[in-house]
Amino acid sequence: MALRDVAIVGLHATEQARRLPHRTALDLAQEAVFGAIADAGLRPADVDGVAADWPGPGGTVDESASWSRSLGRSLNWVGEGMLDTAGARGVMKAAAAIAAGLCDVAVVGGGLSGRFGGRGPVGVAVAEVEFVDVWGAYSIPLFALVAQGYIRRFGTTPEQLATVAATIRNNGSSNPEAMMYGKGPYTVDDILASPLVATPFHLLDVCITGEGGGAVVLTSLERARDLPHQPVAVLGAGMEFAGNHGMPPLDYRTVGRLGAAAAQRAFGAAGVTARDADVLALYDPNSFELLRQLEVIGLCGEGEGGAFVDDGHIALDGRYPTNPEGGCLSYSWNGTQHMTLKVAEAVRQIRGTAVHQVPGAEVAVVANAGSGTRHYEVVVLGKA
Amino acid sequence: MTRSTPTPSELSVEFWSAAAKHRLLVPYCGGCGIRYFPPERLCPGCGEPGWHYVESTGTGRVVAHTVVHRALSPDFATPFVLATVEVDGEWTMLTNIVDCDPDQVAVGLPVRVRFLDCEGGALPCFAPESSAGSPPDRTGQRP
Repeated sequence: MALRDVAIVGLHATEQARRLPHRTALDLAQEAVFGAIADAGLRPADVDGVAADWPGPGGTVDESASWSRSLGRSLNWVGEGMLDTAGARGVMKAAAAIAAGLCDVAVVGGGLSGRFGGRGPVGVAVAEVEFVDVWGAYSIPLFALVAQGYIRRFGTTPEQLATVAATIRNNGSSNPEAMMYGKGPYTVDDILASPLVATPFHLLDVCITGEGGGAVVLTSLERARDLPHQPVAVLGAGMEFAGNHGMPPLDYRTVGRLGAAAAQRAFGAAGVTARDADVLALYDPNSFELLRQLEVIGLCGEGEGGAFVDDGHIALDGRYPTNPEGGCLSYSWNGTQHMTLKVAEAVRQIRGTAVHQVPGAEVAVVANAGSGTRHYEVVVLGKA
Repeated sequence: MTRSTPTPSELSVEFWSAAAKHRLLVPYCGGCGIRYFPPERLCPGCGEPGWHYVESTGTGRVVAHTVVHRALSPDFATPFVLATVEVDGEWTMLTNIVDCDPDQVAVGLPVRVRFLDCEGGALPCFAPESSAGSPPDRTGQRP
């Protein structure tokens, strides 16, 4: 069995909000996991592989095997640790485990509450990072360092970055599931008029923070044929690391093209190119990082992202609708499971059940993280 | 509003002890002859553990910068400049550019280390070479 013989068959997104004071992280994670299993038309005891957040109480914090008792069975495979429980990385590792015959049905996901919500424009690292925190650095300025080098080299305008932010935010404005539903719509001028956070980023150029959960279920394509939903195959995948998360210092010279090699491998395995994609679910912690990814996945050349965006390609009615649900800029950023929600959105698009449905979507690209965090994961999903 | 030095690791305790005395040290690998930062047990150039700290010239140039208008902590007065600085023409570190108008900072700007005394020791920040006439160890300043 190869990666492409594995399919995503179930998904669940919990409510997403700036704060969910009535929810615990475990409550959100369990809603997400059991919701995704039910959506797949499976029973909890069918799941023998788990890469899902376990925040406690009960079990052992961050140990996926803690799910064994909730699922009512022993497990054949677990994934855990940094991002293995979420998004493109979680999906490709679970798919690889299924393809290798280590397990039959795997769930990836989790949830978060009470940690990031309501604490301003960005999530705060819990652990101290030496040679980073002491300079007042956090994720927005770290991405900004990369963006500044790009802008200096290629002359990208503030309006082009703001176009990215306005496009994605306006998708979320009309998505009832989005944290920022009903806010906006935003013009380029609105983005530029919002307060500066770290040059070149204004407040509306960067993602929101909040709480929520999400999960997806995978199994073999063969088994997927007997399940209720249109299977979505994992056509190809790749990941790339330019050092460890948060390793200082950062600049465009060293991390600017991060992800290009991973994307090339993912598309090579999938037998398609970025130009075959019908919809994109790219990581959007800020406007620049999304623009950068349009280049590294191969939709346009290095330095051409601004013009590509000016041409309207990433809009809902463009050739490559991007983050139709509102992305991290408007739908949800909740610690790590917003990455799983990007997978869920891509699956909904291919099923034909998305809020902002791209007509006839069959191929989707999902990617996590980026230059400012030194890691990049990309999966190509397709109608099976 | 007080800034502080980090909790040092066994690799960085010498760096922070020297910084407290306003000396900028950097790991130097005798095996392959490179300086690198941050410290790692094994040299990223050759993979050998036989490195030691040496004194930096404390001069460099800005290779990337951003003006931060929103700080996560009230310990930081805004706006301040976060920058990647190439030091000794060889190694790079994250730091703050201080003692200047943030708008004055540009890629290529020559800078020199300027220690910011704080709780637990001192933080090696950098200031434009053109303002190097002022005393290098003024206390109480913030970027």
